[in-house]
Amino acid sequence: MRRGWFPALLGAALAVTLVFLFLPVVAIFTRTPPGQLISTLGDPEATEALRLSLETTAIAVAVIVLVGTPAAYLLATRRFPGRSVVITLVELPLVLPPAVAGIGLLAALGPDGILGGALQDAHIMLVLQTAGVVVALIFVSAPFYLGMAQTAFGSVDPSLIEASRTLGSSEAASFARVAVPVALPGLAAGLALAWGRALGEFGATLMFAGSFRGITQTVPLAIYDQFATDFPAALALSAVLVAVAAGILLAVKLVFGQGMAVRAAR
Amino acid sequence: MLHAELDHAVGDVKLQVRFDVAPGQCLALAGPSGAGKTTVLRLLAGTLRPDEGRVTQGEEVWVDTGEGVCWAPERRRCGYVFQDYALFPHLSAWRNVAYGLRSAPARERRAAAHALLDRFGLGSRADARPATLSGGERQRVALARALAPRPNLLLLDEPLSALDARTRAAAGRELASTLHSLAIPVVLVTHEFGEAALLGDRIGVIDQGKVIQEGSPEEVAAAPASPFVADFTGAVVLTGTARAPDGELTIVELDGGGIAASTDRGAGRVALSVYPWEITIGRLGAVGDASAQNRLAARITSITKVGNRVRLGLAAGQPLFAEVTGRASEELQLAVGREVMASWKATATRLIPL
Repeated sequence: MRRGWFPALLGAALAVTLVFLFLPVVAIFTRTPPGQLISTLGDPEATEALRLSLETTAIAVAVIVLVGTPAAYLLATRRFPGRSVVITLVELPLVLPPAVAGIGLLAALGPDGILGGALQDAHIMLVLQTAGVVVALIFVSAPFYLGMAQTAFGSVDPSLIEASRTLGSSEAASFARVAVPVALPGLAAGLALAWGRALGEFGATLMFAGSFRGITQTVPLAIYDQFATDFPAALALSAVLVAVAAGILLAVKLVFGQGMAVRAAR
Repeated sequence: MLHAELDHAVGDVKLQVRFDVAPGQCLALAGPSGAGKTTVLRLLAGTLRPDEGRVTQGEEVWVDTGEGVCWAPERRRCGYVFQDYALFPHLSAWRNVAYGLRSAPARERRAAAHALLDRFGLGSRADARPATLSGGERQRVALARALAPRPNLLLLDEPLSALDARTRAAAGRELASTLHSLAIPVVLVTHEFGEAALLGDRIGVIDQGKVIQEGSPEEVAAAPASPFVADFTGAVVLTGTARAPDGELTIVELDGGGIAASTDRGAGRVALSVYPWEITIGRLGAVGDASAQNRLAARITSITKVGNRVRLGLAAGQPLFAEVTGRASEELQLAVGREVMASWKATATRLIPL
């Protein structure tokens, strides 16, 4: 029996981890009466928040993927002076407290911020607007995608790109036809991570965009709003958010699961 | 005709090569790792820009650093077979082959790719992903992919080194016949002299970034221009000082003791080379092959079976090695530590001035 203590320790550690991480999630569902869940889905405040959350996170993730993918490719494939500084700057929002992120966004893009005047001249309103929610979401979740995408592109064998070039494809075509498809599993994982982070965003959104029903009140803000007055409703809305987040994670894994399996077989 | 003059610094190695390759001819650049072989291919393909140089292919000027000309790889149309083949992992075999045929309509691309795979005996593997192909199959897909767009130059980087010993011989013969059927210049690099001799019409032995000897495989093997080339071709290389020629033979006093004779002329410091299969082994004191001029008493330091041959490591004044048949090894009861007589003919002994 003595030689079995280490595997037992490993097993126990995993069990403790699982219980600790999973218990709150289980509790949300077991403590929510089914009737409450249905009435929550019929409550306009909840449905508006859910619609707003899905819309803003989808737009934010789309912008992140569109701009972040080429940026990550550049960081992964080119060596230039100051590269590590740039990478650190990109990672910085990861370690910023959400409140600090909100203050920073106000100082930069608020009415009295650095770019406030320019935005006003262009008639772009961000603060206390839905667009502001999107900006806050992009700010906090982009580093998750950028980090994963950079790793994914970094592990694409450079000779694949060279092969594509010698076969007549330009650098841009090689990026689209080889680098992106080969890095796709990693890009998808980054997308899921960024989306999950955006769905849960609370602090920066609250400070930069506020919490106005139908305009800036996403699901996490609505949960906080109801938490003080109607705990069961907050609980039910939490259950919905968990289900949506899990659904997105699962969908990404299913869609790109084949790519991951192919990569594992290599 | 491909013409290349390339000067390029890679780390400590200063690459400096000049060569011409006629259409239908294969130049095999052979040399040890780190000699700058792959760099030459990358400079030709355009994935690397030379510090200085000029590359012309037919009428086209691909590189002329003096004029600031350096064509992008996609414009040069070079077929390139990479060392690890670099097949696109997300595409099936036929889509890999069709990759370079973008300008053709979809149906023609598919037909052309399948036809090429058929030609390489891979028709049944057209839909397989690279991960499920064997090493030999991957090599053939990579070659088919490189040839599909009808390139005007073919480059191969160690085309056989990723294969296991069993597939290598057959794949090498197949590759040699494919290369002979091509009407374009071919440049291949390898670290094995045997591979270069099998696949190349001409061999350029490259070391420290420079081509130190160029010629047909027979010429290079028969008259290595330097001890490095001799060693690289698989010969035993011994150093010594040649006495004034004595009749038709040159007598060399070997460093570390012993003398050897050669029919080659030479004087002063020389390197002497002989192929290990030319060296016969006999019992000490026995009258060996009567016509063998050269005899050295040696102690066996290692015995390695290589196929049906036995490779003997020998310690004389200088280390050397010999190859004998397994049967001879048994009859002579060879064992590590035994003293034997190594002998070889003066006619099989090459002298290289140092």
